[in-house]
Amino acid sequence: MSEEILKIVDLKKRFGKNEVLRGVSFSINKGQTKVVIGPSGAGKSTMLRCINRLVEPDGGKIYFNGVDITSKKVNIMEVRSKIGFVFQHFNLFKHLTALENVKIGLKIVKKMSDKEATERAYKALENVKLSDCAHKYPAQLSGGQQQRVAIARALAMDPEIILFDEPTSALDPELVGEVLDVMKSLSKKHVTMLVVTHEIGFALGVADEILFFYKGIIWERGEPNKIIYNPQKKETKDFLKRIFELYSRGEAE
Amino acid sequence: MSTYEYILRELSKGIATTLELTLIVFVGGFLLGFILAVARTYGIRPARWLSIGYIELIRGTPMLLQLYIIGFGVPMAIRSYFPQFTINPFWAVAIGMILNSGAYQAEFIRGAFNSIESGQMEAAMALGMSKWEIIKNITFPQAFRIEFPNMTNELIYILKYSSLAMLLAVSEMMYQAKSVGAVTFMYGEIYLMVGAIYLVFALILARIMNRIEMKLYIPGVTTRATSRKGLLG
Repeated sequence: MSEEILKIVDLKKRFGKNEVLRGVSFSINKGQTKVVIGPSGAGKSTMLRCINRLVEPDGGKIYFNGVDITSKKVNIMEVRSKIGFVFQHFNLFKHLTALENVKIGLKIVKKMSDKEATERAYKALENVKLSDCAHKYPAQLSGGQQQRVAIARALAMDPEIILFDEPTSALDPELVGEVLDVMKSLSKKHVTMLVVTHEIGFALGVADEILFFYKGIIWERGEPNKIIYNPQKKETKDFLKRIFELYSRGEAE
Repeated sequence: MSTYEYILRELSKGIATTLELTLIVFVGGFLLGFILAVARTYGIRPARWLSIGYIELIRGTPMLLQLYIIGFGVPMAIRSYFPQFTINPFWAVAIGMILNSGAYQAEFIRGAFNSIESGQMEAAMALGMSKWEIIKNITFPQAFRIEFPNMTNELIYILKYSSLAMLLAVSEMMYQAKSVGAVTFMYGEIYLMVGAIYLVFALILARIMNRIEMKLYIPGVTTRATSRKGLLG
């Protein structure tokens, strides 16, 4: 279980004068779940998008199964098909049913037959407990259901790692749980996951490590219990304090 | 044979040409518009510039002028090198109108492409699809539905403006009306009949297009409100 799937070395990205990533390095082994937290603007989403080159990094290296995928020689479309991505706003294809949303990557990218793709898509939908919504369009699903379809869409591709970009941030509070439950079950099945989230409970429950991003670098990192209950740096403490205040205020109301 | 029978027979010859021209221009203009819209929305910079330049040129000049250039100007220029060259006026008008309609249809399709949120493109890229696969499977199927009401407009517009073909001596409905009028001197009655025929065909085409629009309806992509029934059901 110690096979290194992803290794990021000194990743840098700037948008104009704004240095979003200032040298980020970490790695993920097969079966691990790592959680990225940090204030808005810290570069978390940009870092995820650099990994499948939805955003082109300016500097540094990204090794995926030992191959540097920042190299122009790499067939990035093939790499992307092996890296799942779950977006904050779900980004389902609106003209396709839930089932077709899951199938389309299998058919177009993996060149599966319709029959094979259908079987596999149904299995993926079962995994997220949505088989009964297979023939509904995204507009007919709740936010939580849409996000679960999006997870099924990523999962069906049989990726080596799934990247989650604040998967519950756009959801109504009562729908967050169903999405986190799916993610927890994936983590328990040792699906390799890199998750940007503010869900501290999720991080405590399943993360192997928490990376606290601040001002474009990994400001502090470590085991969940250590980072959440005993952070060493002031910025980490301040951030967690704000998160906890938000939650406790919610409970008081 | 009564005069009215004679008028109707002559007009019906023109109706076939009018409908033929309308459909050829509609389909040809759609294909050209699709290429222009893809070039402008997803193309590399030179393709974008070419597409924008073309659309502005066509929109900024009268269609009649364009038809004269294709029907008279271009053949004359070609004849100075190949004296035998002739072009069938029907095809001159068809090509001219396709070039014109393409520019307008391109703008409808482009607008529809732009209205699709970029997140879907990103999601398709993240799955490993190529740009062309994304256009073909993700953005175009939605853009087509979104722009469909505009296509209905364009189709009816083409139906009516195909009457300009008479100025290049294509024997479509208006040309026939004028010829029959010159023989019978019943201009008033004839033009009223022609007007009624255009109106009926416009209503029929609108009805067909509305039916297709309803068939294409997908919740969340288009709204029911745009799929309302036309005057003829």
